[in-house]
Amino acid sequence: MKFTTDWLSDYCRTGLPATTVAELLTKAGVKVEGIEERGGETVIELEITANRPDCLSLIGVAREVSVVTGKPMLEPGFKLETTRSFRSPDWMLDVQEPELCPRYVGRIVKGLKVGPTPTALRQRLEAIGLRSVNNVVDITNYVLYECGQPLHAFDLAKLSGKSILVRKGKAGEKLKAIDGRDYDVAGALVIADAERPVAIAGVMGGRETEVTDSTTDILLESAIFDPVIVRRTSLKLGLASDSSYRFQRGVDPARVDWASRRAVFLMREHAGARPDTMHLDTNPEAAVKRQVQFKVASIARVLGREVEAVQARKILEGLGFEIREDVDGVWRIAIPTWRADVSRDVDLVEEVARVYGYDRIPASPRVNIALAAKNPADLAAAAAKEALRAAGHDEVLTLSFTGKTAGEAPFLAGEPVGVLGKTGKREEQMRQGIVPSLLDAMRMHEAYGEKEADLFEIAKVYAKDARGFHERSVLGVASSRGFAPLKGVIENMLERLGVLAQATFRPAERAHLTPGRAAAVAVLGKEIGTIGEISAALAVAHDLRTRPVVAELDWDALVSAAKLTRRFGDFPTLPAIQRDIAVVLDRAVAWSDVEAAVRIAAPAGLLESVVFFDLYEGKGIPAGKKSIAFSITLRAPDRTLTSEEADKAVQSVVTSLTQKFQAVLRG
Amino acid sequence: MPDPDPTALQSEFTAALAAAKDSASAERIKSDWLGRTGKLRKLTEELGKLPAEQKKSRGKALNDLKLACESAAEERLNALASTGPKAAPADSIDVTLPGTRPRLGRRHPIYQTMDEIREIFAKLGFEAAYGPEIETAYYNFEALNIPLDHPAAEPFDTWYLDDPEVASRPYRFLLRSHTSPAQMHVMEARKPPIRVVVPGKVFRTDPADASHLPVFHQLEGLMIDEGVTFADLKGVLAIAMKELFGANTETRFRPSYFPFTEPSAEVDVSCLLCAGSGCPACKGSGWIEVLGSGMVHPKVLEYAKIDPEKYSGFAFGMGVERIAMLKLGVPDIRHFIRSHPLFLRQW
Repeated sequence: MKFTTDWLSDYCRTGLPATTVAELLTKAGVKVEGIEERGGETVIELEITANRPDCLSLIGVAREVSVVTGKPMLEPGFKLETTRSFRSPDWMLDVQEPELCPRYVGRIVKGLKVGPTPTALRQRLEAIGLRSVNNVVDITNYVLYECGQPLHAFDLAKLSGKSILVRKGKAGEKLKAIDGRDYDVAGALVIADAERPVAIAGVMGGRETEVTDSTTDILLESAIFDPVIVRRTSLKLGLASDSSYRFQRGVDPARVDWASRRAVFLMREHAGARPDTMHLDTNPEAAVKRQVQFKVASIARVLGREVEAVQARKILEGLGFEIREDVDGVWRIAIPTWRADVSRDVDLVEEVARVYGYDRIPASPRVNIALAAKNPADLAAAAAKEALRAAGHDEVLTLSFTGKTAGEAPFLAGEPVGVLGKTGKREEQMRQGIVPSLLDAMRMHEAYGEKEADLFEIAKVYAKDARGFHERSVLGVASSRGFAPLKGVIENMLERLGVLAQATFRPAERAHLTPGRAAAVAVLGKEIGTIGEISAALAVAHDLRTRPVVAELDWDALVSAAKLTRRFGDFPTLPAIQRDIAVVLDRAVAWSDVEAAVRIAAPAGLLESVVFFDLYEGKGIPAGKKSIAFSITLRAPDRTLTSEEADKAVQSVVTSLTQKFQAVLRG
Repeated sequence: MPDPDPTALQSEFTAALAAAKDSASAERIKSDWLGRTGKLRKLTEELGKLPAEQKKSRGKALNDLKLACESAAEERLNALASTGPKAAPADSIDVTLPGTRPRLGRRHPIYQTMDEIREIFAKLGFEAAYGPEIETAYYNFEALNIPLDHPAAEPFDTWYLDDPEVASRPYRFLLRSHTSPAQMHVMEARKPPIRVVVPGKVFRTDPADASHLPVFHQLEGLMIDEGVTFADLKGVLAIAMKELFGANTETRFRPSYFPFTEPSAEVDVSCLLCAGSGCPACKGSGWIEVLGSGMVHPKVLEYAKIDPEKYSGFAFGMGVERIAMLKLGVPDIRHFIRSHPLFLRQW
C-alpha cells in the first residue's frame, strides 16, 4: 500500500515530518517499508498484514495516523443529488449467487465526457505508481485508494439486453479481460449481461465493455464479493489486481454505496456526469455492527501491565470502536464495520496494546524456574556426533529433496514421496535414503581437489506405501578412507552410545553396495542399517572418481537402544599374560567365526580378550589361504597365572582352530 | 702442602670461566675443576689425610665450594648457550615441521546454532520437543487458526504431498511450513505448565536464492501456564537474545500479525554490527528483525483443549539460518547446503 503525504493530509493533517509519522505507524503495527521523494511528493509505502484490509486505503491509514498522533480525522465531505432506483423494464440487476455477492450497488451514470484526468488527481495516482487511463477510470481507482472499495465502470452501451447478472461462469465461457488476455471463466463468479460474461467478479473487467473515449454512459459497479471465490479464481487464472487483493482480505460493507456515490460526485466534478443517475442496491442493510464484550481487566491479565480505562477508551474510540455500555469494567463494544478481524476480548487488548506502545510494557521475567529435562535424542546425538567428529568427520547439511535420485539407494521401503509446488504439479521428490545426498557432498569435495573426505549427517528420509506416508531419522556417514577405517569409526560411535557390545556386522548384499564389500549392522539382533563400499554404478551416477564407503543407520532405533549413563565397574589388578597366535587357514573363513572358536576353546574364566591384529595374504602363504594373527589375554581373577597355564590355553586354542578350520599354526 | 683457600679458588674458577669465549671452552674448564679427575676432586680425596678434627670443617668448605662452582659453571654455560652458536645434538628433530594433525571434524553451523539456541532456552526451563515433518493441513493451518483460503496462509507457501488418496482424507498431507504444528502436538500430549522449544526442518516453495531455501530450519518456543503475560514474553526473549547475540543486545517489540498469536509482535535486536547507530546491514535503522512472537491465541488453546480462561501462554519462532547468517556473517544462505569443503572447514 502506497500513498503520498499530500494525499493523506486530506484526511488527517498532522503537521509532522513524514519520518515521524512513519515511526509512529511502525510502532503501532502499521509497518512502513520505505519513504521516498518522487516528483516533489513524499511517497510512503506500507506493509499491511493480511488481517488489516482497512489499512489498504487512505481513510484507513488516516485513522491510524489520527490515533497515533492525536490529530483529528477528516472524513471527505461531498453532496450528491438523491437519485432514483432503476428497475425492470429499464434495467435488470439479478444477483443469482447472493452468498458469493452479498451486496451489489449498480449506478447508471450518463452524459460523461471521457477525457484526460485533471492534473491534481492524476498526479496523486501517478505518484503511487498507477498509470492514468482516462478521467472515468482514474476516478474509480482514486476512490478505491481513498476508501478501499473496488469499483468498476462498464460502458452501458456495450451491455446487451439491459441486464446485469451475477452468476457462475458456464462451461466453455471465455472472457477477454482488460489486460487483453483470454480467460476460461467456467465455474468462476462473473458479471454478465444478457449474452455473455463481461467481468470476472472482483478480479478484472472485460475488454469489450471497458470505458473508451467514445463512452458516454456507464454502469458503475460497487459490490462485495466472497473472499474465497475471488481468491480461488485469482489463483486459478493467475490474475491478480488491486480489486482481487482487497476482496480476498475483505472490504468494509458500509462503504459500498458511499464509494459509488463518491465516484459519481467526482465524475460530476471532473467528467461531466449528468445529475439524473439511477441506482440499485441489493442489500442496503449489509453493514451490521457486531458487538463484543470486553473486560478492562483483560488488559493487565494479558499484558502484565495495567492501562488506565480512560486511556484504553480513548484509543478504542479513536479507532472507531463504540463503547455502548460499561458495567463494572465490562464494556459492550460495537465493532466498526471495517474491522472484521476483531471478534473477541483479546483482539481488543491488542488494539489497546499496539497504540499504547509495546515498549511501555515492562520486560519482567518473573517466570518461575523449571526443570528442562534433556531430550534422549539430543543426548544421543551429542554423543554420536562427538565420536564422529573426533574421528575427523565433518557434519554436512543436505536438502531433503533429491529430485530424480529420490528412490535411489532407498533406506525406507516403499516409493518415493513427491511434493506439489506452487503450480500444483509434482516438482520435487523426497529422499528415501541419505546416501545419495552424502555422495553429492563427497563429489563436491572431489571437485574441489579434496583427496580425503569424511562426512556425516543425521536427518530424515521419507517413503510412502499402502499404509501411508513415512519418515524416519537416519545417521548417514561417508568416508574416502576405506571399509575398515569407517567400520572403526562406526564402532567407536556405537561404543559412545553404549551399544557396541550388542552390535554385530554380517555380510550382506544391497543393490547400491559392492558385492562382497558390504555388511548389515544389527544391534541386539535387530538390523538397523548397512555399511559398505558403494557400487560402481552409484559412483558413476554421482560422477565420483572413487568409491566411498558409506554407512546408513536407523537413528531412531539407535536413540532407543543407546545407554549413555555409565557406572563404575571393578577391574582386575593381578597380572595378565598375553600371547600372540598366527594361523594359516582358508581365505573364506570369517574372523568372527575364528574369534567365536577361540572364545569357546580357551579355558573357562581365564580368557579376557581376543584381539585381531594382522591379516596377510601373498608371498609365503598358499593361494586361497590367509594368515590371521591375533593376541589373547589371559588372566585369573584370584591368582597369578603361570606360563604353563598360558601355554596350555594357547595349545587348546590352536587345536580347536585346526579341528574346525584346518588351521595351521604359523611358525 | 698448604691448604688452598676456598675463596681464592672460587675467584680463580670464576675468572677462568669468565675468560671462556664459548661453551666448549667453558665445558673444558668445568671438567678441569669439577670432573672425575678435576682439581676439586683431588682436594676432596686429600681430606682423608687430615686429622679428624679438621676433616669436618674442611669437608664442608670444599663441598660449599663445589656447589658454588657448579652453579657458576651452569650460569656461564647458559649465558654462552643463549648467545653463541652451538652444535645440534645428533638426535635433534626439526621442531618447525608441521605437527601430524589428526583430521578435525567440524560441526555444521546450522546444527551448531540450533544446539546453541536450544541450550539457551534449556537454561530458562524450556525442554526440547520434536514433531513430524510430514504434517496434515489441520496441524499446519487449521488448529493454528490460519484460514486456508485466506491471504493469511500466503506466507506459508506450502509443499503438498503428491497423494492419490487425497480425496478420501479429511485433511491433505503436506510438508510442515513452520515448526508451530509441533506445538499443537505438545499441547495435546501434555498438560500445562508447558515450556518447550521445537527445533526442526521446515519447507516452503521458495526457489533457492541468496536468502531463501526450499528447506530450512526454525526453532519455535512455547510457554503455557497460569498467569503468563506479554511482559513475561518480553522478559524471556530479552534475556535469550542477550545470551545469543551478546550481553549488550537490546530488543524491540513491534506489533504484527500472526494468526496463532494475539497480541502478536515482531522482535528486533539492536544491530550486531553497528550496535544500533545505523549501518548498511540494518539498512540504517539500527535494528534487525530476528523473530516473531506473541501471546498464544485463545482459539489455538481451545483447539488443544486447554482452557483459555485458566491458562495463557506465549509462543515465538525464529529462522535458524537467519540467526546463523547474522551471527557468523554468512552472506548467502546457499552456502549452508553446498557442502563446499572450504565452507565446512571454517567452523
